[in-house]
Amino acid sequence: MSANPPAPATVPLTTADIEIATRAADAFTRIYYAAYDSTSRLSELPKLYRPSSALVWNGTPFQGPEGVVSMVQSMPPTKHEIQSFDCHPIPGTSPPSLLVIVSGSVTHGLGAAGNPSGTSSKNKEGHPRVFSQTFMLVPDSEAPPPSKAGELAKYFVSADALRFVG
Amino acid sequence: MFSSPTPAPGARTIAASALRGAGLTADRDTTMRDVERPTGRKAASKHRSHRVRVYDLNGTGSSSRMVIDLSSLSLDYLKPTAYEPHDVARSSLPGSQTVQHPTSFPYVELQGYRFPALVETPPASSRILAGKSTRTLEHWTEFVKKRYDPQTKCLNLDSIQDDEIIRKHGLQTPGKAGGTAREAGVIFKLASKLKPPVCLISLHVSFDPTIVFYKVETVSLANNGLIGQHLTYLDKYLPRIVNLSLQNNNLRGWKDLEFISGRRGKLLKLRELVLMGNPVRENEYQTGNGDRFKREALRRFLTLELLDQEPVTKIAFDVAQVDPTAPTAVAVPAPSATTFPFKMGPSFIDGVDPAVVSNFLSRFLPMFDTQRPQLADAYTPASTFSFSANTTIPSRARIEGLHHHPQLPNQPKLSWKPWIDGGSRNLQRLSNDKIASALHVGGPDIIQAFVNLPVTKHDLLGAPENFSVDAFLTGPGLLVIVHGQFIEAPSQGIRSFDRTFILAPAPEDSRARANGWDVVILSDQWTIRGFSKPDAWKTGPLLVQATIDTNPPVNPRHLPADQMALLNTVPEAQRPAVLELCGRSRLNVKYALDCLNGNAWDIERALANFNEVKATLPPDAFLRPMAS
Repeated sequence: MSANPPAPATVPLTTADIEIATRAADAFTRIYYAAYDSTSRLSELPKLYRPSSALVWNGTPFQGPEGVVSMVQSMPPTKHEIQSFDCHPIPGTSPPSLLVIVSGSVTHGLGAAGNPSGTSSKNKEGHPRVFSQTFMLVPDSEAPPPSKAGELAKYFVSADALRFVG
Repeated sequence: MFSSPTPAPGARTIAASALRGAGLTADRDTTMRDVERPTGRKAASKHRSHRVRVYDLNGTGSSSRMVIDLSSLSLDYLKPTAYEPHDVARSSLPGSQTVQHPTSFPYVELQGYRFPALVETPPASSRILAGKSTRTLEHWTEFVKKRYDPQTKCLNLDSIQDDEIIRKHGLQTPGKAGGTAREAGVIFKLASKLKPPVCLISLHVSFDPTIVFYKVETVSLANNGLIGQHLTYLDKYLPRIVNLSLQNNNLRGWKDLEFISGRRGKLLKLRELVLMGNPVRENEYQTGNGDRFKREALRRFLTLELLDQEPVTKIAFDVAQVDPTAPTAVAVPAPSATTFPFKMGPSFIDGVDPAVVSNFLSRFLPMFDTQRPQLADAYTPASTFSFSANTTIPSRARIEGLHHHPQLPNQPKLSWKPWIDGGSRNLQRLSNDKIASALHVGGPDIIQAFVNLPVTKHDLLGAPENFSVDAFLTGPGLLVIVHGQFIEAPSQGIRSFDRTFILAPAPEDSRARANGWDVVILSDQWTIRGFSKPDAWKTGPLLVQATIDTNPPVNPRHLPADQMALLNTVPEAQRPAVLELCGRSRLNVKYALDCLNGNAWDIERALANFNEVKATLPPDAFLRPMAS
C-alpha cells in the first residue's frame, strides 16, 4: 500500500472541474482507441505512456512505452466500439488524476467474416468480445508548460488494465 | 482543483487578421488561432473519392453524363497517364465535348482550362453540381476564388448575397435569399478545390496522386442568414477546416449544428468556432444560461480550443495523430497478426498483500448486497461513486442465446429502467445536465445513490471462477478491478459487472478504521452490463478467428430427418457426444458414430482420428454446410 495516503481533499469538486474531467475522458478515449485501431498503432500508442506507466493486458503486465510496444506489436488488428465510459477526478490530487473506465466491444482480425467455412453460426469465436478497461490519467510533471491558451496540463496514462469480459 | 487558464501569450493570429482585414470578425482581441504547421495531415486517411459530381454539359439531364473533374483549378494541372484514377472511365460518350489528349485521356475544355472528363452516374444525393449551367458555375468559381486568400488559407464567405458578382449575375445564394443546402454545397465543393500557392501532392501513389490536400483552413460564413441545413455539405467538402465563423446567422438549436458536430465525426480538425449572433447561443445568454451553452457546445465540438473567442479549458494528451502521411509519422508495420501473442492470464495482483484485496472485497460486496447504509464508513467525505449502465447486448452472449436460455429463465424479466432512472452516468450517452448530479461525493450522498438501486446478490461463495480480480498500486492509491456477476432483484436475473476501486490505507483515527476497515475507498466506479459468461476470462489461449473444432454441438433440430432417425438409434446418454463430434468435425451422424465407435467413445481421440483421415473422407461424410 502507498506509504503516504493522500491528504483529504480540501477543495471540493466544482461543476467546472467535473466538466473538464469529462471532456478530458471523452477526448482521451477517442484518441486512445483511434490510435489502437489504426495501422500506425505501433508508433502512436506509446506516446500516451511514460516509463513509469503500468499496464496489465488480461493478467499479463507490461511497463512503460516499451512495454506498450511489446504488448501491441503482435496483437491482431482491432476495432473498438465504446459503449459506456465514466470518469472521476481522484480526491486529494491536484491537478487531479483521472480514473477512466470504459466498457465496449472489440473485434479482432477479420471478425466473424474471417472464420473458416464450416464454422457454425452458433460458434462465438471471431465475434466481438466485450472488454473492460481502466485508465489512470495523471499530469505529466516533466512536460513543458502549456503553450496553448486554455491548456491546463499534459496528461499521460499511468495505469491501464484491460480484460475481456464477454 | 483546476486552476484557471491563462491565455498563451502571443497567440498568433494570421487567419484572424485575414478575417479582420476582410471585416469578418469584430475587432476584439482574440480570434481565429493560427494552425500548426506543417499541414496536410490526414490527407490519405481522409481520402475521398474526388469524383466530381455530375456536371451536365448539355443541360439535358440525360442518363449519360459528362462529368468534369474540378479537382484542380490550376493551369499547371498535369495528369500522368500512369496515375489514372481507378474510377475514371474512358469517355467515348456520344455528344460529349471531349477532346482527345495525346495521353488518350479525355479532357473537357472549360474556361480555357483543360479538365479530365470523367463519366459516372453518382447517387442522386451527391449531384451537387447537377443542373447548374456552365455559366452559373463559372460565376460561382469566380466568386469563390475572389474570396479566397491563399496566403492565409482563409475563405471569406461573409455576406454572400451582397457580393457584386452574385448581384450582377443574379445567383441564388444560400440563406436569406432562399437558396438551399445545395447552393451552399456548390460553394463548399468549389472551395474544396482551392489550393495554396505550393501544390502538395500525396506521396502515396497507391492512392490517386491527383488528390491535393484540402487547403482551406479558415472559413467565415458570417451574416448569411444560414440555418442548419445549409451546413449539410460543409464536412463533406471541407472536412479539414480549422477555424469556422458562423457569426450572425440563424442557427436556432443544437440540431442545426449536427452536420458539423465532432461528436458525429464531422470537422475533426476544428479548433475555433464562432457562434455569436445566432439564436442557439444568444437565447441561452439572454436567459442566464451562458454556461450551459458553452457546456453543450464543447460537448459537441470536442476538438475546440477557442469558442466564441474564449480559450477552452482542457487537459491535453500527446495526441496520436492518426495520419500515415504526416511528415513526422514513423513508418511502422501495420497490425497483421492472426493470433494473440498472450494467453488469457489469471488474476494479476502486484505490490500489495492479496489478503488486503480479498478482505476488502469479501466484506464490501456482501455488505453491498444486504447492508448498504453501513458502507458509508468505507468512504471519505471526498470519495466519489458513480455507476454506468452499458445496455448493449453482448455479441457472444447473443450467439449463445443467454437471454432466452432454458437454464436462465429470469433473464427476460430484467429491465434497465431502474438503472437508467437511478442515475446511470454513462458519459457516452448522458446529457450534460446530469454529469455533475450523477457523480456522488462523500458517504451520505453515495449511500443515498446505493439505496435507490436494485437489490443485488454477489455469490462470492459459489464458483470463484465467476469473478476476476486485478489489483496493483498507482500514484493515488491501490487500484482494484473486479469483473463478475450478480443476481438482481426482483427479477432474479443475472447481470455482469465491472467495478473499479481506488483504495488507500484507512487513517488510524478514522471512522473507517473504527468500523473495521483497513482501507478507505477514494473512488468507486461500477459498470453494469448484460450477462456474459465468465468463461470470457478463463485462462488459456485466446482465438482471433474460429476453428471448426470450436463449434458447439449440433442442435438436433437442425439435422435432416434421416440423420435424426439415425441419432435416435443411439442410447440417449451417448447422443450428446455424437452431437458434439458432429459440431466439432462437421461429420454427419453416420460418420460421427463410426468414428466414436472406433475410438472407444472418447471425443478427443475421435477428433484426433478424424483430423488424420479427414482428407480421405468423401463429401457425403459431412453435414451440409449451412446446418448448425
